[in-house]
Amino acid sequence: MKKLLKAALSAILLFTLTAPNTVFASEALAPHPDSNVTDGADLLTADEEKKLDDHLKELSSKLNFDIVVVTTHDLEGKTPMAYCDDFYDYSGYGLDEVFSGICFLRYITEDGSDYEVWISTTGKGIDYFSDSDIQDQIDLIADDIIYGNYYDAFYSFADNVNRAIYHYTHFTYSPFWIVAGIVLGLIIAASSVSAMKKDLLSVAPAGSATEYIKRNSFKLKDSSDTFLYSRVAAVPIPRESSSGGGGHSTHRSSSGRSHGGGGRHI
Amino acid sequence: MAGLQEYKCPCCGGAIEFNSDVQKMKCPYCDTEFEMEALKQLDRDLSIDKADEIEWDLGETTEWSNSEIEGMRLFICKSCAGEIIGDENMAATSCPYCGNNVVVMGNFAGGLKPDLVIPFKLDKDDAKKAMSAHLMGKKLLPRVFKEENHIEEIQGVYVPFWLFNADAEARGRFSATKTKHWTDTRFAYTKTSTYSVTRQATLSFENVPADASSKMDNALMDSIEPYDYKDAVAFQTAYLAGYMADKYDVTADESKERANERIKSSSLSSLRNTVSGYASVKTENSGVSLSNPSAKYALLPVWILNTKWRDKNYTFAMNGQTGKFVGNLPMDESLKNKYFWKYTGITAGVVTAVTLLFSWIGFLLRVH
Repeated sequence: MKKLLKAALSAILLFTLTAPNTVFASEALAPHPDSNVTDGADLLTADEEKKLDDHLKELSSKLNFDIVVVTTHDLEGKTPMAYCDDFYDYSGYGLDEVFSGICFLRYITEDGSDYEVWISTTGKGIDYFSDSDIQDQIDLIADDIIYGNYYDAFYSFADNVNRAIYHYTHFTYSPFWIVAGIVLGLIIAASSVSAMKKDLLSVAPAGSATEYIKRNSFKLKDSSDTFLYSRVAAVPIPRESSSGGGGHSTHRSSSGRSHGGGGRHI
Repeated sequence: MAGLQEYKCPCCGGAIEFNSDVQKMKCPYCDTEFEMEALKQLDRDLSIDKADEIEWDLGETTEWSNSEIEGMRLFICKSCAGEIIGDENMAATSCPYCGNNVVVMGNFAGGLKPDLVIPFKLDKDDAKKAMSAHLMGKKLLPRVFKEENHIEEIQGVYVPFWLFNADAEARGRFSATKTKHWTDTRFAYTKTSTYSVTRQATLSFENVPADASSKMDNALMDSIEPYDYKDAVAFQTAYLAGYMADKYDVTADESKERANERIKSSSLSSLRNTVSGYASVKTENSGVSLSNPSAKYALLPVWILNTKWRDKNYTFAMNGQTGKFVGNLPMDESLKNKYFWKYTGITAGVVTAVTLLFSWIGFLLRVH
């Protein structure tokens, strides 16, 4: 019995030491970069880049959560996901022990023939943003990205991330529910009171004489049902939008770290 | 080709032509195709559209004999000029129309005698019980109303009615549709097939009532229907003893319109009910014609109570044969408001509490 217990304990110990370990990654792969904006595709003016970087740094230090933006003309043969993950990891981003942060990649070729958007999450970022949350973040700035208003897009992205993290970490209760409750209350009250009012009434002129039809006197003398024509209407079934859902899917990047994220072809 | 007939497209109104490619009739404006037989049948259907024919000839009536009217008195209400008949032993009592006192005017002069009467089956106690039941459970009824109505003054009155009999013939032309749904990977399809439907039927009506007193509220009398004519007997003056009888002052001719409308409505709905198996039915044209009309003069038993409440008159009536009790009741405005805000508040409170709870739980689960 003692031998069995010892064997079990060593098996457990061995398992915990060798099992994949997602939470405690090792050290940073590079010293933290000076700037949170890397405008490889030259989509921003120098002035915009500076203002954006100040904003990102301000929010990042406040949240202890790195908000990073990168643009490029060339994915170097990688998928947008791999490029974004690697960029974040190997640049040395991440302010806490699990390198929590979010990275926004805008890829577009110089002639605009190919383009992608990818958001990569690390550490606490994986918890903060589910797959559908990522899609929502893209939704919020999609128009600005499409129309090339990159400064506005990235600036808003930072603000939206800030807001999302605030809502995740603080108890918030939308006054919408109070209003909805009042509206529902008014509707229920109005229909209940209307029923009570109707209860008081019992006098109305008779519109029909159904009770006075002589029993069995109804005889159908003639009837015809003639088909005239038919019409077929076809409504296209809308394509389902690419996977979202409440899950927090993760994957490992080349650095061995876990990342979450999602993208869109815009 | 027999006869150069031009057909109108039932879909868009254009002139339909024979299309040699598809060997069918086709509308060049909307591209709908039709079978020749279908168009011919539609043409036939359209030709039977006709308007209503309703005429009344009301047959014979009898008059009171002198011996019958000997013990009868005519009462007049000074307040509303209502006239009622009662036997000579009936004490001056209150007017069934407005609740004020009536006085004896003199002897009853006769006139049209009723053919039928349904005697009272329920007595004053039954009427009082029914009144109490009527007032129960009405959430918005002013509390004081229950005390302040003069339930003792409820009285039995024979109300004059014209009872109409007729045979009806109803015709209808309808356009009806059937739908079918299916999908494939790219589209959701709906096929709508349109039909021309005609129906023709005969049915008979008997004893359709319309009250023959201008002072009795028509809607009130309609509401205590129906009476069961199984209990109707040939009229005898003896039945009136102890009760008042309202004197008729509306002729059959004048009240037949109301009976007409009801007969027409029931004929058409009976007809419409035979159109089944369709997703939608629209009536394009309909008509009712009546034949063999006749009318009988009847006295039907009603318990009546008039009550004044806050300067408004409320009338209650009970069918003296079946016990059906009707009468509109006043509403307590402040009670209504109380309920309204109470329900609003409770619902809003519950919704807020539940959503608050769920938000809190959601928050706790996130920030483990």
